Amino acid sequence: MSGKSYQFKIVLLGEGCVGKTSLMLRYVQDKFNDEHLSTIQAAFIKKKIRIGSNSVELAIWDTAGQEKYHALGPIYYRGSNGAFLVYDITDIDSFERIRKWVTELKTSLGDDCILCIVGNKSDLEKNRNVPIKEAEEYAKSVGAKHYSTSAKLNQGVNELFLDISKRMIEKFESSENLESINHQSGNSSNKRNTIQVVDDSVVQQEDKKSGCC
Amino acid sequence: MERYKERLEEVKSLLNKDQIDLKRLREICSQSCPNEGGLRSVIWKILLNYLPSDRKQWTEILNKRRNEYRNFVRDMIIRPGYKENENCEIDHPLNSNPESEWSSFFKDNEVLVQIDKDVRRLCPDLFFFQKPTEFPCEEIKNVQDAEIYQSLRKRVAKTQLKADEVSKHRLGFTNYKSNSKKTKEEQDEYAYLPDGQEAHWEIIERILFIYAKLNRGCSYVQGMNEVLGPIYYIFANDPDIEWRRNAEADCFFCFNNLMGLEGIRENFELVLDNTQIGIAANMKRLYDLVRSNDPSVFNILQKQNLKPEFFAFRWITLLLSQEFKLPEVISLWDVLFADKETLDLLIHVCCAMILIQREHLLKGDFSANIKILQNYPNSVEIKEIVEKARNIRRK
Repeated sequence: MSGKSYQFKIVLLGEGCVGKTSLMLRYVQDKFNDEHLSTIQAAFIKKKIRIGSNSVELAIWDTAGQEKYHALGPIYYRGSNGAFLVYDITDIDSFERIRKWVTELKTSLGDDCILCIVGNKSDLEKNRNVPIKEAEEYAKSVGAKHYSTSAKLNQGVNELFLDISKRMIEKFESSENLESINHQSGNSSNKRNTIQVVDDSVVQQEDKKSGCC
Repeated sequence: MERYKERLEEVKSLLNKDQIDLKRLREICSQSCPNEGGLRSVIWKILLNYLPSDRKQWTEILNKRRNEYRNFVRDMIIRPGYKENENCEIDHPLNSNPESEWSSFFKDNEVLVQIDKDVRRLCPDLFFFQKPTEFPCEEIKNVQDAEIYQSLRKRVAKTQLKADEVSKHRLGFTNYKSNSKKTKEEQDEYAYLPDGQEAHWEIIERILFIYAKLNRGCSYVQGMNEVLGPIYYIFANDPDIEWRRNAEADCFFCFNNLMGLEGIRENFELVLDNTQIGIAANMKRLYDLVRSNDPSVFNILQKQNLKPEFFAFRWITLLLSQEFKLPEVISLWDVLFADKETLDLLIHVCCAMILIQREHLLKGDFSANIKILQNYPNSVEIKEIVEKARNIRRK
């Protein structure tokens, strides 16, 4: 049985210095660098993965952390299928900031976007300032899932991206089903413009042509 | 080579005259500054309107400005004799009066912590900023006086410690751990130099902190460190010891002047978004330029919904300092500073950078194109870009 191809958009949001870029670099290039530049504008990276017989193309946006740039947020998170709201487990303020992002995303994207709350820097456990229980309970209360990661030690990073991908597929499939049901009852829902399901064979052909990745 | 020598000789003789021919200096530097014997360090000070064309005024102006800066440092950072608990009766941390010294103290600390995060991450591939300066702040240098003087180092440490305490109370934690926030490993990574010494990044931190305090409206915005970095690098590597000794003060004023050039600081102020002068307007200018010079490239960017925010935001606000390696940034800045309309030339340079990639852009899909623009190929020479920018401008 040939699988399906999915394209999803993921955005990383969170206070400066919590490790958004590190998470992305760890996942995409399996690299970690203790000292890297602060991100001034969002960076875009594409990554293809296989889940079972399906292929998934992730368009990942890593955003800048500083407050003054938040006005730019919507440009990057618009149309996202998934969001990582990242905080630093040793920095309570970075966790508080997550609440604002949750509200903002819920307001502008509704329930279309899968929310993941990510406590990064788990290698600094002994300096933890955000109680894990509180973080998990908060995540639950807003319908998000909580993850612990260490980009430095490469813990939980692959799992994080894999899990969100699976959840995005599930969400997409269930909304597809819903749509077809709605369609049958003459009640077609809004067109979704960010996800395209293409037959796998077609994608592979296109790949050969463009020679990309 | 011959032409370089000619230019070098001409610049030297220009700078030796009592009255410097600024117009001619700009003309020569629009090709790039010769950098022998610290010429660039002096020329940037002139091009950034710190040193006047009348050389006889230099000593007086330098003395005045450097004194001024020393006082900023004393008043805003060192505060000799200031004791934390002395003013408690009149003013205290819970004073809700916005005029309260404490209220601005806390706001400043927020800014300081932000600056601290960024300056430690300045040019990580260049070891320079981690190295100790020959000229640390006078008061800080004397270790035995350390007790009576404040420093940003102490203030950052204290702010982080306080945040620890507060957060623990807020969450109902009672067992306050007295160990400092940073772990052993982290201390090693970002180690402070021993007391009495300062790394170059700490100087950058001090300049930005004072700049933020003096420019309440704009304060500090992430990325300013990247604009300050190359200027400081040039000044702190001047072969002349007197220029080096005063690199910090001179750099503060030159940075201040650069930010004050038409439209440069405004790029950092998102409040000005969607007005005639902010970053949004400049990104629009850039795309308008692309459209009128190469409609097919413009169309592809439009079609792919590749917004200028995705790449040109950083190009313009940081004057391209993150797009090239430092030596290239420096020679590009020679050209930008030499121009009377720095921002205008910058936008033309950005347009040239896009047009130079036209063949790739016309072929590529969204992700290929954004990759090129976010990681500009280092195979392209600054000279070629500048030449193209000038051609576009001439039209």
